[in-house]
Amino acid sequence: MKMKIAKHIFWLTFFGLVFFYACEKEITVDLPKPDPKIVVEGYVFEGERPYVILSRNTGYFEPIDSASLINSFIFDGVVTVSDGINTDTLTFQSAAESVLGFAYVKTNPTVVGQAGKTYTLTATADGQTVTAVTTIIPPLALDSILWKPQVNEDSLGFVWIYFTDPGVDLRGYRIMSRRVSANPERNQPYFRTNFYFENSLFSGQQAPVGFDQASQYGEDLLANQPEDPDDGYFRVGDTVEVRLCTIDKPYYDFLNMLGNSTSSNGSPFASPNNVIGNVIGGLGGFGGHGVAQYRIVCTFP
Amino acid sequence: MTKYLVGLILLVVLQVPNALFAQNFAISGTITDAKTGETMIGATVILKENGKGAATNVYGFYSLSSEKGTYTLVASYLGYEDYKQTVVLDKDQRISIALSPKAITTKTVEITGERNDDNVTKTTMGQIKLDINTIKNIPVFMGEVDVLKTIQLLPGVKGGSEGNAGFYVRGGGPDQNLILLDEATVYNAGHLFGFFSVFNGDAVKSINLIKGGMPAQYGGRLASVLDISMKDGNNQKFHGDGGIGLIASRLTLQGPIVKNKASFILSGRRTYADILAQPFIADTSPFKGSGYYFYDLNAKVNWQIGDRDRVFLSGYFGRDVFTFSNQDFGFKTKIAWGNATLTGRWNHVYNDKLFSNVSLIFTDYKFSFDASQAEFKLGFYSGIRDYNAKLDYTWVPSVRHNVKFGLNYIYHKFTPNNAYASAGDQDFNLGEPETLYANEGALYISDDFDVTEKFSISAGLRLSGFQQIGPFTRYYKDSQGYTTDSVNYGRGESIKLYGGLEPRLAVKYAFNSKMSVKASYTRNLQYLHLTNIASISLPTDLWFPSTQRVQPQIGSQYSLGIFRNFADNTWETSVEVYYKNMLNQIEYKDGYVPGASLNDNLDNSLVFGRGWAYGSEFFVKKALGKTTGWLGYTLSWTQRKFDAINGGKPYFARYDRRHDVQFIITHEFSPKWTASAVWVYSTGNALTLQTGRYIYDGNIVNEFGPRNDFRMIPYHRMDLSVTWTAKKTEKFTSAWNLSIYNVYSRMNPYFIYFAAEGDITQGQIKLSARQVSLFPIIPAITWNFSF
Repeated sequence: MKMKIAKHIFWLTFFGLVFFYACEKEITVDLPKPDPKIVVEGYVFEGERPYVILSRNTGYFEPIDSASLINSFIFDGVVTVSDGINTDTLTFQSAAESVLGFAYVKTNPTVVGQAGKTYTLTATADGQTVTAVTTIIPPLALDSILWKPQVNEDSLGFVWIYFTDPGVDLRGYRIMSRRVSANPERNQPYFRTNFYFENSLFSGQQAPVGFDQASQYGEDLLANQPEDPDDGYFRVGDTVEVRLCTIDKPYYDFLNMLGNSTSSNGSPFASPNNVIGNVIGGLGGFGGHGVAQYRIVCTFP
Repeated sequence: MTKYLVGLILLVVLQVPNALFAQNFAISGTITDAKTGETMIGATVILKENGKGAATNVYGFYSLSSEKGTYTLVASYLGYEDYKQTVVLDKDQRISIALSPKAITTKTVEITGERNDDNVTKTTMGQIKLDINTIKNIPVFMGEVDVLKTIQLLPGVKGGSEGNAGFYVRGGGPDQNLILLDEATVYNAGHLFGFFSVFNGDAVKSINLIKGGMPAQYGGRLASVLDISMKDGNNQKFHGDGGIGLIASRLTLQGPIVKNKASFILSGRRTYADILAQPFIADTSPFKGSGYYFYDLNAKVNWQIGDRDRVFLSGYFGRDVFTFSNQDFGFKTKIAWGNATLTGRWNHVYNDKLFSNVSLIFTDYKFSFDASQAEFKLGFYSGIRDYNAKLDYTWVPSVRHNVKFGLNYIYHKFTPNNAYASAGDQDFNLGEPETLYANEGALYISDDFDVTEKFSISAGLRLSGFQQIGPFTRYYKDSQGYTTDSVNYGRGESIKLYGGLEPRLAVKYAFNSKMSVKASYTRNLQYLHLTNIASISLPTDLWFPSTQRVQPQIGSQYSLGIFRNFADNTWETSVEVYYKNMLNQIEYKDGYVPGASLNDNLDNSLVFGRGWAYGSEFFVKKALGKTTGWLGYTLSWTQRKFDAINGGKPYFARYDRRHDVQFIITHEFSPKWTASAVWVYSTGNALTLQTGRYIYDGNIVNEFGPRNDFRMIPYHRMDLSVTWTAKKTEKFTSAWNLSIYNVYSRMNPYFIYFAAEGDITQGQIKLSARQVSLFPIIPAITWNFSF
């Protein structure tokens, strides 16, 4: 993770070096239209009902405005999720668990996230059918969780978690967090992702991970958002909820490619790679999450 | 083909007794520069009466034989006075010759050291020899004379991206060029992300590029050989050269250790942007401790032991060091990479017909990246190290034959990508470092056989083999990417063996001394691979051996050419066509994200396919006179096909260029003033662009179109240079060189990226394509001196 950051800094510095001379201009490029495809964004969190968002891909230079964004979502798809025993047909409706406020869900679900189970998703829309499979890996308890102030800062710092990988398989971890507060301006209603990483770096060992606030939904899409004054930190006195999610390797690989792709836009140092997800016949990913959830009040150790 | 070659070799052997019975006598010796004592490569010796001749090899040694008689022996080299001597040939004899530079240097701006009609009369095709003086007159980038950038000005050779010293020969990848510095392989020839090459012009004697018809003595690469010889050192008197340039300075010292017997040369170069910038970075600046520099050191000694033996010891050491600190965040990075080579050689002349060379060579290339922030430390390193032993013989049984044979053994050690990480006292286990070991060996024999005055054959056969050996752990994965099994191999245990025959054949028919046609066929095996993620060559590219999963690259090349000289060899012209097939090419599989890998092998992330290339090269050169230069045009296609890439459909390689034009002209106005100009044009690079997008969890995700389906706009550029020799005496010479890179400031594309502007809450986000260009017009001035 840090290595990636360091690499980026390396290339950024290199860019800085060449931009001493470099010049840039807008050009017109004639791009062909991509084949229409269904994009699946599906989640099964342990203890929760599955929820799925369906959308469509668009041509690269199609305008992005609120109308086109809404039009990119699919409202009339048919979505089923099965845990091998039960199958639920999900319908498009408002859904509290989704950041968007809507998703394909089942009101009285028979299929609910459970450690060790494998889930199969089928979605049909625009005359196409796609499928995806994911497994929930049993969650892992933290060894400890604490808040530490950052050097040169007296009241801002990182939350640190320590956990020990069982060293039994190749898997990914996804750390999610949100700040909870009675003050609506400081309350973050949704868990957002801080990091995801593979256990290959510390298989069978303890990992310490420090993190700040997670990026909020669509920060890339919504520029000029008012910046949180505590951006980059948690403040002493904050209450933070943390989830250590266990995810299977194919879903981790998808997230990893996704992160790599969004950070390597046009860079000559990166290869232009398509993100390959676990959705057969379409785009996107379907992820089962084992969940260990904790709450910490940031106080001096 | 093979059958024919065996027949040919038999023919060679059967010819030997004939040569002995025909009362032939041999003349052999070395040709040197009278002023410096440097041996001369490619100087010619001719017996005037019957036209029989020979050229000196890379050690300056020649051998020729003829029937008993009295002859006028003429030795010559461009820019030097001819040497004539009457020889009564009634026994084998040794004649070593020292040639003097022409007193009035009217020809200092000659384009190459190539002699007269060599391009027509020699069997070799696709070979170009460049003299370092040629290179020094061509306009340079930021004041630095660059061997590799001059190579890019030749037809059939393409540069990489803007300013890059990497090169592509006839559709071959950058890993398919064998770059040799005094016989030692240089695995990464670039400084500063490839903007400069590692070869310091002051330490280089000559450059020989073989882009087709590779002789059997060379192997291990598919596309080309770039054979660079370092100067031996002046064995007559102590002498120095140097230069002060925009970004770097150079100093070379050379002189006799024992006059006429032993000499040395020591050459260094360093950039100084970091030193110049240091006083301007305040101690309190968060970036204190950041900087970049590179340096090169070349050293060589040689000793002539008696008439028959000469030993050489030469070495190169170069490093790029990049440091970046941000003290506000306690962040420190150091990135260093570079080559080290050491070559020991022993030339021995057994008799006037048999010459040998033994070489022991060490090569090392390393890349390391270290970063730390607070208690976090992490880094990765990669590299390749070779121990190489070579034995080469040149045997000249008769004037019609020039036989070369020898053997070669290399022990390789690869460390493709190893990472470490720690937080405080906690070390993360990143698995055993993946180190791979291999043996590589080759035997070869070749003969340049002049069948008749007009028809000649150059035939060779190389037998090569490669063996991956332990210790090694092979991991097997299932389709999901899970490691399902592993096998451990012990130290020295054979894991996989590859090998094969590599026939090489070239034939020439000369209609007369002005015109000839030539054809060649070569088959090459390459056991090493360069894995490349980015669209430009970088020091992070990894060398990887053939393994159980990765098979050796196999290349076949067919070429045909017609050569014609005009006006007493003042004008040389040629047209060459080629077709090339390359098997077992590698790419990273789609979606590969580099990272540490426990219980995995790097080659599990590779996919395999084939490539092919064809094209034609047109070349017109004015070799003599006050105005010299050349015009080259290449029309070519380079494609690749991988089952796992681009849906199995063929696609153009990113260095595929339909058109390539190079125009170089140099004019000597007076002994003090020389000017030259370069103009290059090439079709834009092929690249893959996003054609679609979708939104996933609030991120815009790009969907890429077909591989390399998009073209950047064409690349073209003009450079100018003027050299003014301010002072020229026996004791001291100084000259100013003014070079202007990209005279009309063409904004050539370096890369294209897409930018999003606006805010969805304000209405709409606008996406646009942006083209980044690196270098506008850049003038540079360099002061060179020698004493």
